[in-house]
Amino acid sequence: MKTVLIIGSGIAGLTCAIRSAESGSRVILAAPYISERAQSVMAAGGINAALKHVDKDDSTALHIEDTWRGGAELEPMENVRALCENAPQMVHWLESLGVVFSRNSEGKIDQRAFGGQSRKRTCYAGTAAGRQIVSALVMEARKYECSARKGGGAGMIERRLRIWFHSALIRGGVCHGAIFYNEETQDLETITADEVVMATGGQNAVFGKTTGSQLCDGYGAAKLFQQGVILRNLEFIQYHPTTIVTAQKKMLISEAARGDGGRLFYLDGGCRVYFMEELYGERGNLMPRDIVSKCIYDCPSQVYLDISFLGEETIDRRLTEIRELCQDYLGLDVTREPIPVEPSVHFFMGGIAVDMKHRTNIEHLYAVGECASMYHGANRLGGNSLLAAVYSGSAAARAISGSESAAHPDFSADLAEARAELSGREGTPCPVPAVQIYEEMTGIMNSNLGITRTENKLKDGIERIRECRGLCSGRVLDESVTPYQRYALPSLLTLCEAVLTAALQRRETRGAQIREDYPETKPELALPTYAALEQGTIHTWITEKESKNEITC
Amino acid sequence: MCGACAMVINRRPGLACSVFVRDLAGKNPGDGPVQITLEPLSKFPVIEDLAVDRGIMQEDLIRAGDYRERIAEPSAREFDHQYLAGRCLKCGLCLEVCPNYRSGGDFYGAYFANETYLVNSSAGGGDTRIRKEFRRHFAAHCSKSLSCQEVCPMNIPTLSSMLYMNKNRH
Ligand SMILES: Cc1cc2nc3c(=O)[nH]c(=O)nc-3n(C[C@H](O)[C@H](O)[C@H](O)COP(=O)(O)OP(=O)(O)OC[C@H]3O[C@@H](n4cnc5c(N)ncnc54)[C@H](O)[C@@H]3O)c2cc1C
Ligand code: SF4
Repeated sequence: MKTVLIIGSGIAGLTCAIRSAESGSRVILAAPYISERAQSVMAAGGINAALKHVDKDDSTALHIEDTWRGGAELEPMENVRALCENAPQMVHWLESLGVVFSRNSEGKIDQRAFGGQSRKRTCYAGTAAGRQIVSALVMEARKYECSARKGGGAGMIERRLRIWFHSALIRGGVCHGAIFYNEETQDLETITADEVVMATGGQNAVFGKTTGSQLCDGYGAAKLFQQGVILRNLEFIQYHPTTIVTAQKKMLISEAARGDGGRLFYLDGGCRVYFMEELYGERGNLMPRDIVSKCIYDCPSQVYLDISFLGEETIDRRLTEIRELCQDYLGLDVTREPIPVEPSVHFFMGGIAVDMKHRTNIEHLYAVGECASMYHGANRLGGNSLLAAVYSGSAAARAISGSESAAHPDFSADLAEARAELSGREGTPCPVPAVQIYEEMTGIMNSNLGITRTENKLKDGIERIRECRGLCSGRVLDESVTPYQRYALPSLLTLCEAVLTAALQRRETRGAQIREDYPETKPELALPTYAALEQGTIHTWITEKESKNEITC
Repeated sequence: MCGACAMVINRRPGLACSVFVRDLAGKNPGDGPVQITLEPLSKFPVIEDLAVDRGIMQEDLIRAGDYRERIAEPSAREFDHQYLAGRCLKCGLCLEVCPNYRSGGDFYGAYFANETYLVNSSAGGGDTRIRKEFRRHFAAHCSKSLSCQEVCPMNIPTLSSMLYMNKNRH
């Protein structure tokens, strides 16, 4: 029986686990916390598929067209096609597992309008799509957890909790498992497997407060990058236009609010200016996120989102969580007052480079969900990333079921080396508390890699990130952060430098990459950026395939 | 909300991320500084400081085999209830306030009633296997203090789940 190690148990990891168990594998599903704590539960608005339940003239072709155009024409068409053509099947699969989707008057899954989409295509579950999907997937996975307890048989899932990814076990370009930090034993351990799937989500923590979970820090991609894995499209970071900011958190006001009619405005001498409608007409509030965020950024004063005119009954029925959120965190009643909003970091179009089977450039190593870069081009449409999480998890599971497994070499020396490094017995102490370096890192990423970018700011960012890395690389960090954060920090700084370098190299404005100094979009650059680390130097290049020989910036 | 930060705040169990100092402070300007006491949930083993190990909740669900074996046509009548039950965070607050719950015992607590409701209602109410588990690990022990429903940060109607599961179906 093939052993599949899946790292991360959000929607992508869970889907891959269930699909792999269905095809008879033994799955080890590893994450520090239960799936109910994964960022996936925060997904609010819904998941896209051209089911034609509301707009009868919708089609897969239109879904493809909207996704490709919304992504600023960067994503290779065959990737977009694979995602959108499989979308109805993915949603029906979720329905068959018991996901509680909202229904229309005919009893079919209801669909709402979402940003950048020409038709009502987003299947939703109130404003808690992610939570409802996780709830059903967790239950389905439990079926295979129960079968593992009963001694196995065909297909089983074993969960490992309280363990954090440390590094992959790679020998000769082949992956054989991973090393983890175990919180309980406070030690490192290895898990070997025939196939390894990364499903560790986005890179929120390098930006500090974002709309997403701090559990997603990008370390998985960062460490693999140091171990020879190629990354892609790192410069494309989505700012969600409508978030509320409190002392503790940045929280999302789902696009569903605008999908259901919500209007953006600012005040000019006491008069409301509905700037999106003035600029883009009737559907202005629902333009793709890159455009709305930039428009809000350019507004002369505080921007508000008004949904009060939708009425209490509609708000309570369709936008429940938005009312609760504003009440709890702002003491604001959305049925009476507009919501003050601003753009915040929300989603990462970039990540681990994969092919259509979600294989990385290392054999037997896959990446799925938000940690992989695929489908969304330079800007993701709302509702497409839950789809990508489910689809990529399924695609990887399908590829795994067919591939041959390899014999495992002995990794005890690698483990011993990692242990020696972690124990910090040898080496010079870092002169600055680690928590301070974390703060510096998030500060640089926010100020030098904001909604708009310039060469000067990016170069300055790279220099300052290098200084931070110089402070902590090879040094022993103090206990102001957890053991996991201690070993993660130098790798995260390397990832930050790669992101800044990719943004610097792309001398154009496209989707979420807005360069003040290069405001035009260049047709010849409608290609992904790749990044690799070779002998400590970051290389980025823009090309159709991963092969580095084509164009280098 | 993810449920990770469940703890006991001034003797009341809650999610720290949505309890505000302004609500704990005295009502009048001259009331002076307030003392805020934070404690870990008492029903679970403490890992460190305020962090507790709630692994028993997952364990109990596996032991009871809480998964769907059959999906019936979705029922419009059950939608709102299923939607609310599907929001469970596994935060453990309902277990913290329950006078009858003891970690590792035969009684699994309020979230379990909601989870079994999800399985049974998806099957149209006729899942006898899960109804047996519900009786064994919930109904036989619950004295209906209903403090679980009051404390639930997701407003899950546990009483309705109990009623549904207790009804004599099929
Ligand atoms: C507020 C919000 C609302 C959203 N709404 C929508 C929406 O309506 N529609 C839509 O399509 N998309 C939405 N998104 C995006 C979408 O939710 C995510 O892209 C998607 O859920 C990612 O799923 P995932 O499985 O890849 O990752 P995640 O759900 O983030 O899971 C990552 C997993 O990896 C684990 N992990 C992380 N680091 C490590 C490590 N070092 N070691 C071991 N494990 C690790 C985590 O614990 C977790 O289990 C939203 C995002 C946010 C933040
Ligand atoms: S039922 Fe409510 S209180 Fe209990 S675990 Fe679920 S969310 Fe928490």
